[in-house]
Amino acid sequence: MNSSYQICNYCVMDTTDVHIKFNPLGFCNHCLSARNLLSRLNEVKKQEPRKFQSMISELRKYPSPDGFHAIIGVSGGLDSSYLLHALKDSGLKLLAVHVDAGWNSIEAIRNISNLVSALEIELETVVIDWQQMKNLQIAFLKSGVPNQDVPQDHAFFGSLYNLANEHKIRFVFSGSNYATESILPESWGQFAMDGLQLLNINAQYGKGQLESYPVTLLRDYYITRYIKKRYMVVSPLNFLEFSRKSAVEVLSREYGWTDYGGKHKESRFTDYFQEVYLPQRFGIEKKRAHLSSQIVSGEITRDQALETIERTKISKVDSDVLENFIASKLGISVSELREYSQLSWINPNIYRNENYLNELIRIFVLVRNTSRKLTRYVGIS
Amino acid sequence: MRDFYPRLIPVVTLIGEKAVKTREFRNPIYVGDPVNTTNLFSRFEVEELVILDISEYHETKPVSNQLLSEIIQSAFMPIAFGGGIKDFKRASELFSIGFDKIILRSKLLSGNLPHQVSDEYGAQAVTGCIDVRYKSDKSNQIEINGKWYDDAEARDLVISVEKTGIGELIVQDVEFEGSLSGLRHHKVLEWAIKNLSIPVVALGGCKSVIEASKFLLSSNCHSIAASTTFLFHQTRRAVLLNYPQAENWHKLLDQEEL
Repeated sequence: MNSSYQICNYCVMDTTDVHIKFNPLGFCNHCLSARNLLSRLNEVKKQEPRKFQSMISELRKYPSPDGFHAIIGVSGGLDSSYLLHALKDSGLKLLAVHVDAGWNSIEAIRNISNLVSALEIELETVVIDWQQMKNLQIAFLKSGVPNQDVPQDHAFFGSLYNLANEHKIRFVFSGSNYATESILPESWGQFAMDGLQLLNINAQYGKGQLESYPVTLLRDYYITRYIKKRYMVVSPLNFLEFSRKSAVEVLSREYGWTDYGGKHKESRFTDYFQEVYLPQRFGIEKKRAHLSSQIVSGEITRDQALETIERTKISKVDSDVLENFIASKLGISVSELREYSQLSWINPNIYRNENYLNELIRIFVLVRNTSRKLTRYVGIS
Repeated sequence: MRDFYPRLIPVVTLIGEKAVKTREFRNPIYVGDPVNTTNLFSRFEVEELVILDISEYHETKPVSNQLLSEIIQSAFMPIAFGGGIKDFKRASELFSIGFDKIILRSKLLSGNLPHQVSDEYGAQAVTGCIDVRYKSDKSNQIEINGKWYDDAEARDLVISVEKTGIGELIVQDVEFEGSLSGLRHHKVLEWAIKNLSIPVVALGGCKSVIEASKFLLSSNCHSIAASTTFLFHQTRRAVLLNYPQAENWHKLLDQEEL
């Protein structure tokens, strides 16, 4: 631990996020802005206690030609599972979509199967061609971009997007929520929607074309989203009482849902990425962000979070097992895999991308929101 | 409680290096990487698995030995392999890769391959498979492994099949393959169950685990093999593996007996 190491006094974020900033009290920028966000959200909840219900009745007005009101990605993980449960009496017809990128744990499969059966929700699955998936993942490892979860995340996003378009479903339910994920540093990079960059990395390091892997270009997504006004993402968990602990309790009691310990462990690759790759390469422990989010939402204390970090540190044996599994599944040696997880930091922008679109959209949304506020202020409706 | 419970055997079909699901062997749907599929079934604690390579039928290069050995390494349960086994050399190659059983279909009723293999590896290592079809322009004819027979001929053929040296027989109801329309008590299956001393496994049409248990209790069929049921979630034929936990399967059979 070097001399400039610092950990936040309020949450458990630390200088493993290179861009972290601390105020004079030793509180970091992440929890400060997350607290701010959450208090605004609570105000909205107070002002509009029936926000969830009114959102549902609004959605009910726009069924697709086959009668679906919304599409919802299911991974077997806590957030999407709880979302299905929370929507059970909504009267909405949902199309649940599961994308199988080859890394499913059996707990994830059982959870999905139990939930959609009990709730009688229609399920569609997309199985990504393994040869293409494998080659793309090796290409990403070689490229050295920090976010190695892009091949999976983009496949999830792209398949959902394609199915929403195909069935003309207007709304997308997302299990994302501030209770368990209000904090995620930008430098720990999650953006996975840039199809152009993905194609570019595949062209440079991959083995052949992505024939059936679902690639979505950012420009197409933004056109659909902001011009055609389709693929509207709704995150209802934010308007409900949602905490990790109570969600686990309800789901296990009512559906035999299994908690496999830890966020995003429904995929064995994500498990490796978060528990081995990121710590090895950057010293990043992603659970710091998840636990900090839970501190901010008041679900756990800072001491509990610190204790969890210590308790759940992956053992050498488990980490070896995981590395062996990943390497053999990808058809590479463990030493090759380790080489990739020890590359120094690389700016992902060296690969061709459509980042400028993100900037454009950011400005567009800012201008739109400001003008809305202005009109409200001036009193013109 | 019983001493032995009938087995529920998932069947995974391969074309080239892909696991697929077909309907009457046509219209393949991609199910996944066969190594992954086998590994998942293993983690579901499946008692036994059948792998059928139908590449030949789809004019694709058969599965490589390399992939077959990865499949074996990914699983703990016994695995039977069928498809394209033409001679003794291929059979012993498969045993050395690590398969526990081989399944013979086209070489079952002609030649002496089953005998050769069972003499060397034991009868338990050789499973015979007969594909049965009833729909015919000529009435009263039954198709078995691609040839048409009348009732009497077919019956003779079936009841003498264990003389080939096999230790087990799979009877596949081809018209129901991949249909989920339910198992049938059809003629050939009944002849086999009544007359053979070796275990008879019914394949084709099984629509659910509950149906499988009912079928087993209403016939003397030894075990059930199925693919669609274990590969898909029912409503939209979405690929989602499933397999009952042993205690649930046993409970189902015990309950039904009462």
